[in-house]
Amino acid sequence: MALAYGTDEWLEEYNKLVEEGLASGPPFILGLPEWVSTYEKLVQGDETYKEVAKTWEGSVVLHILAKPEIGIERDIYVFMDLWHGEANYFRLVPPEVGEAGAFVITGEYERWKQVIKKELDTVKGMMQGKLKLKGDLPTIVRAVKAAVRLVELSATIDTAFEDEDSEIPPKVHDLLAKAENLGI
Amino acid sequence: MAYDLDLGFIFKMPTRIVFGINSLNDLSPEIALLKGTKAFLITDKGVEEAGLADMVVKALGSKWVGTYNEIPQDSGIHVVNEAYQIAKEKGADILVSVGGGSVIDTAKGVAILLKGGGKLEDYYGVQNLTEPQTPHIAIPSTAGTGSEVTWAIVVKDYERNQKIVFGDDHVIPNTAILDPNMVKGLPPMITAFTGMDALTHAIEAIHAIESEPISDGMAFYAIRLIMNNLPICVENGEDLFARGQQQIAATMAGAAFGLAQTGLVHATAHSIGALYKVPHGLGNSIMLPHVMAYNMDEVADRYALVAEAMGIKEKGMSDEEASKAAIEAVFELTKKIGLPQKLSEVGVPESGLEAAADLTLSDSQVIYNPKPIFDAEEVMGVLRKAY
Repeated sequence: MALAYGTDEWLEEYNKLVEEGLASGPPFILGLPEWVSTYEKLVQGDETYKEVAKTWEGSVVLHILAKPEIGIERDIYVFMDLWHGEANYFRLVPPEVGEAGAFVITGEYERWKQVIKKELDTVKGMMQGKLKLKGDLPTIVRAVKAAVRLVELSATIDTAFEDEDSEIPPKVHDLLAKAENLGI
Repeated sequence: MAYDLDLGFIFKMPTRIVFGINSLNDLSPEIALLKGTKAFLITDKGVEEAGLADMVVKALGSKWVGTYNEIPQDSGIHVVNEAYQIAKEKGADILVSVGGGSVIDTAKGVAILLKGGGKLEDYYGVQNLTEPQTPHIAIPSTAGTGSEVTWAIVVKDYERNQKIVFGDDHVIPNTAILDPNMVKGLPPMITAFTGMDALTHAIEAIHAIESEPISDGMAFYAIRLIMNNLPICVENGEDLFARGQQQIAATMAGAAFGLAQTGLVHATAHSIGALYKVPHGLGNSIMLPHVMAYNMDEVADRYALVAEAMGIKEKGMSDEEASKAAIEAVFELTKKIGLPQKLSEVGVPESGLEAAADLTLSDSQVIYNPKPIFDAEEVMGVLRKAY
């Protein structure tokens, strides 16, 4: 039976996954707990982000659509709790939590890879239909500097991409199997 | 800002365009093509008073199930929700919009609600729809908005006093009927500023950072048509050839900016429209040359091509000289067709410029301006010049 999201037991189990993932060292696989945790620390320590995001209010969810052939057997929701320049926490969350985020940006794996490689501008991607936005567009537009900084920081993570190494999909598969009791 | 190796775009133009004098007669067959049986008409009172709604109802015949006509100059989220309720009660399975951008955009919103239910607020966002919506045939009664071929719904949130942009490829109308008869009675002033709306779409599509060769092709030809035909339409509205050419130009410019987006002209026009009720085309018309002057050092090569399309680029002119000539040509055109030149002439209070500048930074189109804008003071500089 899945643990209830946000409980101490859930967090304990989730943090175990993060620690296990971090223990193997970089590069970290896109969208897995250790990648998300690395991203969180980067944003938390970034003075530029704090400055440009000081008026930002609301959670942002990066929704990566499932792609079973590279191990992403179900949708991944990266929840970023952001408030006035602070990154309170970034973590993977169950779909019902992710869908309830203030701003949910959805895209295929390939699109997120393009974003992280800085080949696709997030806002332009939305306009072109490469990414979907649930939430208030003017609010995102006003915070475009913060959004740009978030992408810049994600690009600095030493990232392993699921489709670039045949050893990665089984690892993703195993992680998601382990995370099933967390509902993520 | 010529194209480079980074060029990448998606071309989409799903609207079926039916053009010609008396093409309104094609309405019933076009509805049949879309398998519609119960057509709900969305329009406004001005269109009704001009007799155009009656012409459409007649063309619809037994397929007509009802009409909604309560659309103000700036449609609102609440207007879309209300129109939907009535369309639903009437059992509509296809929408026909007759009017300007406000009417067509309202119908796009109703198309979403007829398919998925709820309220327009439930669909806040961009590209969230996953399937085709209720079929929609747009019949523009102005030649400027381009809404008949665009993916955007611009409606006002009256509670926040801000224009909201919803965007989705699935709301692009299935069919646009461009019948010069539908615009021949348009008064000179409205002809003028809606025509300038089209010119702004074309020029902004060219300077926008998403510009690409296909949208450029449409935008440049639209500029040529507008420069040649808009003054004639203003002077003699009964000239159906010029009216038709202007309609085609407006649709081409609409398709161009639907692909390439716009820039600071639209962002500021949306803001002064939301705050001070300045008609969108008029706001665009006033802001256009000032924004071009502001952007000139970044995109003089693009404006030189605009000058070429306008037919005013002389041999030996540098890009800067040609850009200045293009800016001057815009001023001259607006004077020739009798439009106000300054924001102070259209009810914008000087004390309101700051609020307009601030609101501009929330407009989705500002991010496509060739010169990046993050600071309200930069916008204020342009607004002051336009004041």
